[in-house]
Amino acid sequence: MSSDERRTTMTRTDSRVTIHMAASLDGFIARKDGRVDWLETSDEFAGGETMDPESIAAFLKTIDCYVMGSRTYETALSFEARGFGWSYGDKPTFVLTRRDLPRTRETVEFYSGDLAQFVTGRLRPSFGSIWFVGGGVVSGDCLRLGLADEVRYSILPILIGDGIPFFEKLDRDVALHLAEVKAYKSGTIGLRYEVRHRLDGDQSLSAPGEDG
Amino acid sequence: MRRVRYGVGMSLDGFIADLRDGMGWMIGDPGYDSKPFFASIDTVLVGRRSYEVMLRHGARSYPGLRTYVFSRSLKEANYPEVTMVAEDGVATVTKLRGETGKDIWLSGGGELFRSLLAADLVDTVEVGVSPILLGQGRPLLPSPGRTQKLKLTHEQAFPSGLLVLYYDVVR
Repeated sequence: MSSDERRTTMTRTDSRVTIHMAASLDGFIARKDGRVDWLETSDEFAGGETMDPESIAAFLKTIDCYVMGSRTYETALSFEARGFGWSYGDKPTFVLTRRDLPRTRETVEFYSGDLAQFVTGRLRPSFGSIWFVGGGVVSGDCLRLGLADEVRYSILPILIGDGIPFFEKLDRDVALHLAEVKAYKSGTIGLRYEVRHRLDGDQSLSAPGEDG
Repeated sequence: MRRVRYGVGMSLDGFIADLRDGMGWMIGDPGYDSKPFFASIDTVLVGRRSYEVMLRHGARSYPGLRTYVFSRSLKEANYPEVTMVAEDGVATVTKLRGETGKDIWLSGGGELFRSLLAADLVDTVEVGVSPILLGQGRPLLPSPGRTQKLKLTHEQAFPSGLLVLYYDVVR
C-alpha cells in the first residue's frame, strides 16, 4: 500500500492546523473596507531572502486543505473574477459560512456547524496539513477554541493605522513559541510560531485525532 | 539632525500594553544588550498615560535622560524631574530634533507616536516583539492612524522568542 492510500484509509495522527496571515506591523490584515492595497511592498532589505516561484510551489504542495471564512472566500472569488487566478490550487477548500454563496469549483465545500467538531472530527482524520487562511473572526475562533498548532505570520513593512485586526474576539492571551524567522528582500518578516497549549484540559493537548 | 526613535515592546498582534496598562507579558533575553541603545540617546519623550504608568511603578523620570512628558493636565511644579509639554508638542519636538545631540527616544505611548508621526517627526520604529497574542490592549498605533510605509533595516531573533525589528520611516 502506498503512503497516499494509507492516508485515506487510516486516521491521521500527524495532522497539523496552521493559521496563516499577512499583517501590517500594527496588526491589521485588511483595511476597514476589506481592501488589501497595501500588501504590495517595494522595500528592499539587503541580505534578505527572495521568494522564488519554484520553492513557493513546492511549499504549497505540502498543504492538504484550506479553511476560510466567507469574506475571505468572496475576496478569493473577486480575485479570480479579475483574472488573478484561484489561490488554492486543486486542494479541498472549506468555507465556513451560513450564507448561500456561489460554488465555482468542485474543490469548494461549505460548512456551517460547530468548528471544533469540524476540525477534530472531520479535518484532522483526513488531512495532514490544514491551513486556516482567514479572516480575523475564523482565525480568532480557531485560536480561542485551542484548535491551532501553529501560526504563520508575515509582518509587512507598513503601518496602516486602522483596519480589521488579525484576531477578532480573542478573549484570552495565547502564548506562542517562536520556531522560525525569515527576513525577505521585500522587507517582509516571515514568522512561524508554535501555539503553547494550556495545561487545563484544553482538548488540543491530546494527540491530534487520538480522541477522534 | 538627530533622530526620533519610537522604541517599544509589543505583542505579535501589535499591542504595547494590555488593557490594564500591564506589560508583564513582555519578555527579554539575556542575549539582548540594551546598552548600545541607551548610549545612543540623551532625550526621551513620554505621553501622559505612559508617564502615569511610570509613576505607578515609582519611576518619576528616566535617569540620565532629559525627559519630556506631553500632558495638558499634569502640573509641571509637581514633577520637577521632567519637562512638561502642555502646548504645541509638535513645535517642541521639531526644536529638539534640530538641536545637536544624541538621538531622541519616543518611549510611548501610541497616541504620542500617532501625533508625531502625523507631523513627520518620527524617524524610526524599533519594536521588540514578544511571542504572545493579546487580542486587545493599547495599540502600537491607535486608530485612526495614517498609512506609513516602513523600510526594514535590521531584524534579530533571540532564543527566548524575543524578536527585534528595526524600521526606518519612509518619507
